[in-house]
Amino acid sequence: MNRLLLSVSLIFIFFFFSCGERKPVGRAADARYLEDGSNKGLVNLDKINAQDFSRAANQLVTDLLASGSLAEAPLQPAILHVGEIRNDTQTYFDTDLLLQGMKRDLLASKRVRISTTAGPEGKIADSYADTVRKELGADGDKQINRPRPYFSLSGKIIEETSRVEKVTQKDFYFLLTLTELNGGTGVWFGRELITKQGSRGAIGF
Amino acid sequence: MKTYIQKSFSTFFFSLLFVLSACSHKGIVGTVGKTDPQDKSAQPEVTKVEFGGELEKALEVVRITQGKADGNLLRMQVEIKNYSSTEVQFTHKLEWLDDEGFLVKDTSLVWKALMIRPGESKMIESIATRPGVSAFRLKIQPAKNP
Repeated sequence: MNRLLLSVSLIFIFFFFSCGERKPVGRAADARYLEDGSNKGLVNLDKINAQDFSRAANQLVTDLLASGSLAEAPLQPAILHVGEIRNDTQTYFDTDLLLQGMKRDLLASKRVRISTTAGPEGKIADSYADTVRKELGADGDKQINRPRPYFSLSGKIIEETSRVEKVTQKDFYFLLTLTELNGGTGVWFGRELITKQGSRGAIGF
Repeated sequence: MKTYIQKSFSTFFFSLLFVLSACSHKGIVGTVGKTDPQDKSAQPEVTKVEFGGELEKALEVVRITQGKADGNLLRMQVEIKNYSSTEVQFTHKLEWLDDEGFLVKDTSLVWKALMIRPGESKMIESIATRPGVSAFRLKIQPAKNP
């Protein structure tokens, strides 16, 4: 009787657990997806996190649009060449993490058109498009027009570190300059500072 | 023995109550916006839908100012004042909505941290990056690491 009861219990337990949610053996699984711009992302003191790039890009675009500099171009929308943004921080990252968001917003504002075929040799955003355009232009194709950029955007990202006892402060400066190519002068100087302070990283902020 | 059990139970009960109350405000998001989303006046009427439990006692939206920047881009400014006697740390996110009420996906969709000292008021301002934007929502949430 006891043996029968034990067998039934074992079969019941087997079916009960086999139909349950599959979980990895060992440590609890905690990997999850975060939405873009979430405030639950990691906050590292020594590097620029995803939310920092988004914030810097948004603040710089807002400042640029508020300045009215783009509206000064005689032909609207003006052609903008996005030049080099130097990464002078201690960590490697692709500066397109900052620039792509800015380009999208600037293009959507309909204040500029962004050139992807202008720039110094080897630093053209779309070299294939540039080559094709050159070839078609050499063949005398009348559909190829060559509007030259009216503005150029360049800049750098700087990192500064300060420490008092065990507390570290990291200052990341995003410095951008908009140059009007005809006059060769800067018409907007953007500055966005992201400061982080603490003794170690955190999850969320 | 009975007194010991009673004491243990009381300690456990109050610890549980403390933990629950400490965690209760987490994840609550306050939303600030215009009463009428299509209100195009310079100082539209302010409406508040939900507000983080702790923040509602400390912060108040003084006014919303809006206008146009660079021709046809909606520009907004929200003044928030800290009426409490302690400094308040919070995060905020701005959502732009176009004429048809669709959410605009641009770089403004990111949470930003802000701190306001007692009695101080601060401005949160931004410019929409699309010409067809007519309304906005400002979401406010208590900071995780105050």
